[in-house]
Amino acid sequence: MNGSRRFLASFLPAAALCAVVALAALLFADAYLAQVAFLTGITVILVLGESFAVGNMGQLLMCQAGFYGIGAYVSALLEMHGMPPYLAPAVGITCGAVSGLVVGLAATRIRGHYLAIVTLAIGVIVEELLNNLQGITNGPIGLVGVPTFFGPLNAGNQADYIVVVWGAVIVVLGCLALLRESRFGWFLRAIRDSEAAAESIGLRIGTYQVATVTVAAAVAGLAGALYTNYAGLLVPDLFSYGLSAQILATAVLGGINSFGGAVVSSLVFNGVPQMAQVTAFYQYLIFGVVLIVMMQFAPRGLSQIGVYAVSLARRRLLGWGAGQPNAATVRRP
Amino acid sequence: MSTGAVALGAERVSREFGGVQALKDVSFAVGEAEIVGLIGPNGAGKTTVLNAITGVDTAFSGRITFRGQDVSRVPAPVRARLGMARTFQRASLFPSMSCFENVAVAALAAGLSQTEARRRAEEAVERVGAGAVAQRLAAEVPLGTQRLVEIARAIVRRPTLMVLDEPLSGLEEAEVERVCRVIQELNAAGLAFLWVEHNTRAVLAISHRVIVLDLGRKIFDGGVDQVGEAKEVLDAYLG
Ligand SMILES: Nc1ncnc2c1ncn2[C@@H]1O[C@H](COP(=O)(O)OP(=O)(O)OP(=O)(O)O)[C@@H](O)[C@H]1O
Ligand SMILES: [Mg+2]
Repeated sequence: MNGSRRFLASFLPAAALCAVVALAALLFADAYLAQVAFLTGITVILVLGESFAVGNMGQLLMCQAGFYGIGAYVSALLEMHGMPPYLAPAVGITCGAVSGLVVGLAATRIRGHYLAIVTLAIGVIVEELLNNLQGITNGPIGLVGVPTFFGPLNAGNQADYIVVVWGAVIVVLGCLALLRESRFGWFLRAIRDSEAAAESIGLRIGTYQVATVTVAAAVAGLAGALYTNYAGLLVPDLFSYGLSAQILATAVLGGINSFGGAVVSSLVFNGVPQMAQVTAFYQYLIFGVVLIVMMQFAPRGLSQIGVYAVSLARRRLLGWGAGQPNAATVRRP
Repeated sequence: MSTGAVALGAERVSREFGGVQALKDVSFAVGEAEIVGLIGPNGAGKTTVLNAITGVDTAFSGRITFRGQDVSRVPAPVRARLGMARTFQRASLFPSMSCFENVAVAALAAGLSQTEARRRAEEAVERVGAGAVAQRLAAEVPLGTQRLVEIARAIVRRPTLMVLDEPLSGLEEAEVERVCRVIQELNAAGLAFLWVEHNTRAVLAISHRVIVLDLGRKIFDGGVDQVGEAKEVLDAYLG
């Protein structure tokens, strides 16, 4: 089904953009901007996982921060007991996947808005557990002295951190784009388009829902492991359900299931305000207003604006007719 | 007429929706390689029966058997795997896919390899005569074409029973003829059909047998040549 062409069409632009961002950070970032670049990379990974899940299931997942926290805490704890940091990404992915599988199985029969509520509850539970399992997580005080990849961020190692996280972003992009063009991806799309029709061709919706949540959670777990090995310090507040809402909103703003949109949205709504050192108050305020305006006028997010801009430019500059949109350019929410 | 073995059996199927008795003790059989038309006025319970048969609805009472197996509690996708295929009263293609992809994804869901799935999908699309629109987005082709593609999607798994819910509604005369011809060809190749259709002329033209539902009850089950004379049927239709 033209899989490789579609794979390249969705992967290459987004990956190129990431490479440019990483390169710019490598060339121009001071210590503060290096930190922003790293954290933005983490956000991109979280948003990509969310966007994949929401885009494919057509349902909201409200516990990315929980999976992120599980990946972060488990890899931190294992490292504090002697596991070498380079194993952390694998551990993060595994923990995320396992917790996603558990959540997915627990919610197999739950669909629609109910899934959003259940996953919201799960996010709250994870946060509470991190706060209250004092013996393991050290409660609200958190874990200190967690090993890191290259030691505390400084002028000498900031390039290494940037390469690791943005390299991970590109790998995640590649994996998700491959997955989307795989058999599995096609089945997810069928289910999203019409559940009744998908069942009529023999697809068991519950199975694919579990698998999708597992993928999103594995991606978030990876982000957690990467964060741990950068920060060296974990507190439960970092993984609040408020973060899940923010991740979801960023994914929606980018345009669900658009990889490029997810990257741009994370940069615009997360990276730029931090670069400009906008205070959290104004950052949330602007974010909220933008969210409301966008949902009114461009509910399919930045990717919708992008598609519109491209077709407008074509018409104006090249005189091409608007023409019939085809499968490759039309994205549905 | 029924050629021996029974493909599908419905035994005393009843369904209530919050006080509305949509079906009451409906029993019938569909033979292998038989075309059975299911007709009746609006709200008679036709779609409700099809949903019970295909597993879209499992909250009915009674029994559904498929090729000798009790499938009453078997979920829809598993019934599809057992060889039941269906189309919907409201054409339900995957709108974000091309017509060809709609069929190909069903072939993949049947567990075929990429190449085999592509080959079978091409074959099915050609069979229903939708080759010309294969690459167009499903959401953008005319309703009649959507219904044809839906049939192609349903047959790509090579089912043994096809359940169609008003496949002719919204079709032009030429398309009606084409769908009827496709049904007859597939039937000649051994596929059984249970189809709901308001176009009585078409139903009587190609079905081997007709079942009439009215207000959730079966009021007629017999040859196409007798249905016109049955008093209950005349009463139901003419009021
Ligand atoms: N999900 C539902 N909830 C409540 N009532 C329902 C539901 N589905 C069907 N009904 C009722 O059951 C009865 C039979 O409906 P059904 O859709 O099976 O009729 P039909 O014979 O297919 O009619 P039509 O020719 O209009 O498609 C109707 O009274 C309908 O209102
Ligand atoms: Mg109906």
